Amino acid sequence: MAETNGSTAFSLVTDQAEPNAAPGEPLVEAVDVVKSYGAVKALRGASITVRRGEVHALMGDNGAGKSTLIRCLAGVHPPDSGELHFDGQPMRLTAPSDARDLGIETVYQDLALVQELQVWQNLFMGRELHSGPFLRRVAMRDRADELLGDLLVNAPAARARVRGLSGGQRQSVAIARAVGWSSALVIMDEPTAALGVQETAAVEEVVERLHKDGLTVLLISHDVEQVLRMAQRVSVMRQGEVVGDREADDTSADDIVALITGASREDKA
Amino acid sequence: MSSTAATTDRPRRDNPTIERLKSLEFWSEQAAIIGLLIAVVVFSILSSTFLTGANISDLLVSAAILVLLAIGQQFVVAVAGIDLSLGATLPLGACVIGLTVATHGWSLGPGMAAAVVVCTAVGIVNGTIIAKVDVSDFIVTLGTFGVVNGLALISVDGTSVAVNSTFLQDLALNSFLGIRWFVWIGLVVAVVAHLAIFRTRFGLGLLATGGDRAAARSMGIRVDRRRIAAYAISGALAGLAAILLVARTGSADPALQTNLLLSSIAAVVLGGSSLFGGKASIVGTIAGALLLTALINGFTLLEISEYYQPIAVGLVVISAAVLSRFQGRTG
Amino acid sequence: MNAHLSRMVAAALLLLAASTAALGCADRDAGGTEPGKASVAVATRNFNNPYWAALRDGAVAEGERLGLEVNVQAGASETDAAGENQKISTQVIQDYSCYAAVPVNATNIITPLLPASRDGKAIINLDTQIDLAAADESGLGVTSFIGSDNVQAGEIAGKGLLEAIGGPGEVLILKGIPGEQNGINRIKGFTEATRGKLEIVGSQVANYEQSEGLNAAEALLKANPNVKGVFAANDTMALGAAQAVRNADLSGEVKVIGVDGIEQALEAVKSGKLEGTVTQYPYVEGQLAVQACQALALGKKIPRRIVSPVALIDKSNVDRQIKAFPKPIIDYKNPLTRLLKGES
Repeated sequence: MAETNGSTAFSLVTDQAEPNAAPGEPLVEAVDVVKSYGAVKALRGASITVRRGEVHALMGDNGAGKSTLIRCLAGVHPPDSGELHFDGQPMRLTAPSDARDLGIETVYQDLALVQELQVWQNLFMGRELHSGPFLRRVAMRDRADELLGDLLVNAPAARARVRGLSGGQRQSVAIARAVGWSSALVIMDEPTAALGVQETAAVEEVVERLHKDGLTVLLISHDVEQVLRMAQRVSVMRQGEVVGDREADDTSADDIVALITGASREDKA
Repeated sequence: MSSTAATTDRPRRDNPTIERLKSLEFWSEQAAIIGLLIAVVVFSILSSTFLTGANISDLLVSAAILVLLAIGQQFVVAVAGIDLSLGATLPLGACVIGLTVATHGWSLGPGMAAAVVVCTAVGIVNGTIIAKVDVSDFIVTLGTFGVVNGLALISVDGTSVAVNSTFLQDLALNSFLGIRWFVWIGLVVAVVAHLAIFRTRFGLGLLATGGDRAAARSMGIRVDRRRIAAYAISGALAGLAAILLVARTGSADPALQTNLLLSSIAAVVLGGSSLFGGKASIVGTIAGALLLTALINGFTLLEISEYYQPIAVGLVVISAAVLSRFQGRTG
Repeated sequence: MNAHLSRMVAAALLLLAASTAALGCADRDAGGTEPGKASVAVATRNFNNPYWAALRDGAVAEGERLGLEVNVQAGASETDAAGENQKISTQVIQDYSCYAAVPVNATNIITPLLPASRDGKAIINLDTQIDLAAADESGLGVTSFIGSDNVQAGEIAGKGLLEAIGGPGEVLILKGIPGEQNGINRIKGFTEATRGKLEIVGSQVANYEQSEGLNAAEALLKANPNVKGVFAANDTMALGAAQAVRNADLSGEVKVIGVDGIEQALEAVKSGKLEGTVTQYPYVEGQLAVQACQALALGKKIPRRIVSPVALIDKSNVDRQIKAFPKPIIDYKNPLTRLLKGES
C-alpha cells in the first residue's frame, strides 16, 4: 500500500484529489442546526466539529438526534436553520449527491448493497469505469480485488456475490466502497450493531487501518467500550442537542454514560 | 485478523467449477439448460425425426417469437417487475401492421416500424405509471392488457386482416447462410440483450434497481428511468415479435390469444432468474424458451395427446420453481 | 451469472444438435409413405370445442377403417393461430403425403403449409375457407375445400322456420362475430330463402355467445311484440334466445332456430325449447378429409369443392340424431366413395 501525502491509499480510482489541509483542522462543522419533522423537533441547535484525520464518535440514546444530524451532513435532509461548513467554507447540501461530490460518504445501517450482485459491481455501482457504452469489467474487478486485499485480511473475492458474504464482510465491503472514492469523511451508522464479537473485531480493525491511513471518520455507536477503543473524540447527543464533547484520552466510560443519560450536563455554547 | 469463523472462503482460491457443481443453487439456476438437454436426449431416443436438421431448424423457428417475448420479459423481471400486458401488446403490434399496410396501403417498412413504435409506447406508459406513481406492476400491466386488447380490436374493427407480403413470407421461410431468418433475428436480439444487461452501465443499473431499489437509488442510480426503460424494451421486443407473428400467420388478428404470455414468464423462471429481480440470464431464458418449445415439438412428433402438453409444461415450470427455493435468499 | 459453465453447456448442446442435424433428412417415426397409401396430417384450432373434437374423431376413425396413418393436431384455442402454425410446421417436417387443415383466420395456415406445397404435397382446406387470392399470391396450391355450405344451411333454417311459423310473420336475427364469413353466409341463405315471406324486424350482433344472445333477444323481443320467430347464426346464441323467449313467457309463440347441431342444442330441441337446429357434421368433414387424401394417393382427381352434409333437426328426428351423434342420420351423396371403391 503506497502512502501518498497523507491521503488514503485505499482508492477505486487512481486520480484522487489531494487534501489541502493538515490533520487536526476542522473538516466538517455543523453549527446550531435545527431540524423538525412536522411537530417533532429532532434537532434543537446541534453543533459538532469533526477534525481531519480523526475518528470521531457520536453517541446518544435512541431518539437523541444522531441519525437526523448525520442525515443533515449527508445531504439527505437539509436543515431548517443553522450552518454547515466544509473545510472552513459554508456548504449547502440539497441532495446526497452534493455531499458525495464534496467527499462525504455515508455507510448506512442497511449498507445499501445489492445482494444479488457481485462485490465489484457493488463497489462501483453508479460510478462504473467504462469505455464507450461498455463496462471495463476486468479493470474494475482487478481494482476491487486490490482494494479489498489491501484493506481486509479475510477479503471476499471481487466476483463473490454479496448474498454469500458474512455480516462482517458485507460491512467491510460497504466501508470499502465509501472510502474507495477518495473521500474526505466517511460517516458510519452503527457499523457493528448487528455483528458478533469476531466480526466486530474485524470491522474495528478496518476502521483502525483507515484511521492510520489518514481517513476522517464520524462513527455512530452505542458501545462505549468500542468508542473509547477506537475514537479520538466523542460527542454525546441528548434531546436534539450535542451535550458534551470529550477527548477519548480525557474521559471514562462512566463520564460518557452520565452524559448520555443526562446525569451530568455540560452545556456548549 | 485471526478470525476463522463462519465467513465464506475466497472462491477464487478453489476450483470454481467443481465448487459450483456441488451446489444445489447451480443446478436450480441451470434448470432450463439441463431440462433442455434431458428433453433432447429423451425425444431423440423416442423419435428418429427429432434430431434431424429439418426439425431442429423448425424448433428454433417456432421458438423465435417466444424467445423475443421472453427476453423482453427478462428485462422487466430484472428490475423486479412483471409485464402481463405482453399478451395484448403482441396482437396490437400485429394489428398496427395490418392497419397500416393492408388497410391504409403503407409500404411494409414504415408499417413494421409503426408496430415497434406503438408497442414501445405501451411499454413506456406501463413503466411510467409503475415507476412514477409507484403502483403495483401486476395491476398496471393487467390493466393495460385490457386497454391494449381493446385498442387492437378497435384498430381493425374486430376482424382479422390478411397481410400478403412476399417479404414477410420469405422472412418466415427462407434462410441466410443456412440458418432461417427467424433464428438470426432471435440470435441477434439475444446477443444484444446479453451485452446490454451484463456489459453496460445501463444493464448493471437495471440489475441493481431490481435487486435493491433503495440501495440503487442511494448509490445515485436513476431507478425510475431504469424501470421505464425495462418496460419500453419489453414493449419494443413485443413489436418485433409481432412482425414475426404476422410473417408466420400471414395476418393481423386482434383476437389472437396465445399461451405466449405465460410461456414468456415460465421461460424466464426456468432460466434461473429471480422474480424478485436483480438476477438475469439471457442464456437461461433462451434455454427456457427452447425447452418449452421442444416439449411441444416432441409431443407433436410423438402424437401425444394435446391434453397432456400443458400438464408437462406446467410440471416443468413447477419443478424449476421448487428448485429455485434452494437459491437461499438469505437476508 | 455462471456464464462460463452455461456457455460450455450451451456449446455442447449446439454441437450435439449440429452433428446430428448433419446426418440428413427426416423420416417419420411411423414409417414412410407407401405408394397407393395416403398418410394424412390434420390440423385444427383446438380440441376443447366439441365441434373440432368430432372432426378429429371422424378423421381418426376413417384412418382406422382404411388402414391409413392419420395424425391430428390442434392449437390451444379458437384464436391460437401461432400454436396451430407451430403444430403444422412440425407435421410438415414429418413428411406426410397429404395435409388437411382448418384455418384460424383466412390466412394463418398458408405460410406453414408452403414448404409442403412446394414439395408437391396435397393441401386440403377444411371447414373454413382460406383467402384464395392470398394463397395464390404466395404460391400455395390448395387441392380442395371440404366443408359444409353455410348458405345452404341458412336456407334450410329459413325454410324450417317458415314452416314452423306456418305463414308470414315478423322474425329476429342474431348475428355472430362481425366479418366472420360462415355467419355472413348463413344469414345470407336465411334471408334469401325467406324473402317476401318473413319480415326481419330486428337484427343484432351477439358474437356467438350464449349470454349475449340472451341479452340481445330480450331487448329485441321487448321492442317487437309481434315477433313469431328468431334465427340465430349458431346454436349457442340460439340457446340464449330460447332462454329469453321463456323469460318473456312467450314459449310456443316465438320459435327459435339455430345452426351447428351441438349436443346441448339437440337436447333443447328434444325438450322443446328450440324449434330446431341445422346440424353440420364435422365428423363427416374429418372422414372426407382422409378419404380425399387416399383418393389422391391412388392418383385420382378429386373435386375442387366437396360439400359435407347439413340437415335440419327438429322434433321429428331429434331422437335419432342424439343416438347417432356425431354421425349423420341422413344419406348424402359422397363424391369420394366412387373414387375409393374397390381400393381399400
